Amino acid sequence: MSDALSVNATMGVLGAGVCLPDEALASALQLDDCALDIAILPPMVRRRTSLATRIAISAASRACAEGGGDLQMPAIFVSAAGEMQVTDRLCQAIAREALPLSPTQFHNSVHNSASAYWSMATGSMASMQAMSALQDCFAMGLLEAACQLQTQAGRLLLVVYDEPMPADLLPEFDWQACAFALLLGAPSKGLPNVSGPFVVDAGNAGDGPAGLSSRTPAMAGLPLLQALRNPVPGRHRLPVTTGNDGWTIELELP
Amino acid sequence: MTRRIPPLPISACTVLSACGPGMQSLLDSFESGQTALRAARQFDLDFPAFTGEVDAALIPELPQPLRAYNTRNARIALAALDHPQDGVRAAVESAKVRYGAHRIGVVVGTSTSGIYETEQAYNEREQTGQFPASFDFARQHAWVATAHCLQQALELSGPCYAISTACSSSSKTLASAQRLIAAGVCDAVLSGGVDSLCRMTLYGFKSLDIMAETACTPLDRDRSGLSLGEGAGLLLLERPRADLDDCVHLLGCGESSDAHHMTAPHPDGRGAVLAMQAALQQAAISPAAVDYVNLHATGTRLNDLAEMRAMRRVFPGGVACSATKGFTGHMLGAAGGMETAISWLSVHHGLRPGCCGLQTPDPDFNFSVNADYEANVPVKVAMNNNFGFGGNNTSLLLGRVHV
Repeated sequence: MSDALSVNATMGVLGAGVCLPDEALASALQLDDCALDIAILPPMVRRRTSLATRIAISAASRACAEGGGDLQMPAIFVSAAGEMQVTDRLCQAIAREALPLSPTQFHNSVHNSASAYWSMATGSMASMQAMSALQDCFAMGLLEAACQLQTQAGRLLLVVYDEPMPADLLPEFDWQACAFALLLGAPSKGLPNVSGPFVVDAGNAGDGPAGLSSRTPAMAGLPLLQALRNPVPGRHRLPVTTGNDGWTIELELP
Repeated sequence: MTRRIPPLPISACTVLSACGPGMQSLLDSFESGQTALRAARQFDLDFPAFTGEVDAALIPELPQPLRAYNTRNARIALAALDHPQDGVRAAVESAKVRYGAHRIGVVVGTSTSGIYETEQAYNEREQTGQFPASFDFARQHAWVATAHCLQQALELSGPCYAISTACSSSSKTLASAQRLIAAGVCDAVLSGGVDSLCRMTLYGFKSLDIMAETACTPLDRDRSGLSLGEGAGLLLLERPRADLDDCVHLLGCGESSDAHHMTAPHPDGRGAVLAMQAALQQAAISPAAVDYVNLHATGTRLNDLAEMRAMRRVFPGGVACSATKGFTGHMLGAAGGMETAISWLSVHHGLRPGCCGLQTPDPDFNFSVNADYEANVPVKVAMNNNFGFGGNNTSLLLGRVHV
């Protein structure tokens, strides 16, 4: 099923941001400028929000700072497990009958928590999407972004993020806190342009760092981030999933 | 260049809720005016609550190769899919033959996914120190689990993802499905939502102090909160095709945010106004052309008041409207699927459901609501509103493309 999406659905990359609070890992991956940055959140909110929300908002802030411009735009937040640490605490409280539950923990456990705090912090009344697709989070987020930009002109923010999983829930994966954000708009000659995602045979999915498969789904953005940070003019095929189903994009660098 | 979004046919739809299986169960409930909410039975709660539990027979266990997805959420989804009269599975199979498995997407809304099973796994871990062997987080609790289960059950290979924006989750799946088709990525998309009752949501809404002690009475002067329900609403959206012209169509979608508060709506329904206006604008329909609005109306003091203030702004001349959560309970992540299906029924049969449990409409609304069921009324265009935590708002318009 190659080219399930018309490659006409090209998007211009106006900004990119990453948040990977584990300094040793960031350094091993040769990433800089990826610490937490939640200056946009009011101080009272900063204390209440989860690591998942804080890394998502950090990466989002960075992508928007790089691209500049108005923050009143639609945003797409994608995460495999969302607010899993607070959900873990609620499940434990229920199992131990430590009731009543904390109302703050409960409303912070919804999957659209990060997008809601982003909307409140920026004052954006545009559409806030909160999606999930396990290892295909980045690919499906790009697909939603491509469809939104095809049907409504303008710019939008795409944020893919996950916090570490509580013990024993996903023993086969090793998920570190990681968020990756892109500010996307109309394609343009001077910009890096990405195609919408399409499926190719696993063998043609382009080069990517080895061993992504057990990594946080947001790390599917690393091949693109590295290509943006060390630009080689021309067209490149890059994988956009930590899974093995072949979701790929074409990146064209000026 | 943005593409114009055409009206898209809904070629099949179905529901499963406390009212029963299938669209006929809703017709029966609307005619009788009887609530399906009962004192909670599935859970031993330490507070009084009414719930809308799915009583219809579910398969006890998923067959291979779906066994690992075995949750109440997935069993509810499959029971809905397999409802014989509503025929959603048959419609998907026929689209698959016509377009190919890779051209059919699956976008499912949920706010609970399989948390019910996760709660049981945590209980077991408290006792034994270990999760049960059957517990599989990725296939049961991860938000996309039910979407993946449906995709595999139907042997589809197009795009597949979950949307979880609390109570607007499954309305948003229709907007995503519409874009996937309009952008030419998919020819058909199975959309809608599935939610299952669990302690997390029951105790959670209790902690927020917005649960009614008896069956909820949305829009009533004396309303005292919401009642939770569970179930599914599934809709197959397809690209326009001459032989589907007589189907009820999705005419427009509007999405917005309040940018206001995590749980409380903007008091004037500012985001709700934007969502409704965006849907009308996309469909190029004037407010006066809307014949029925299925309100979000959960039964909490603040939500109903904010929504009705928004209604006054969008429909200054009034519009027939009602709330149906008094029948089904608030199905959270499945509410949008259920209530879009109700709007489909409204257009398809020419009916307007009443407000189950409504005794005295709240005079503070200053807006007339339809307390009673009306059959054989012309409904060319129906609107469905759903608003979620975090100020996440969706408004959809359904109607006929030619009359």
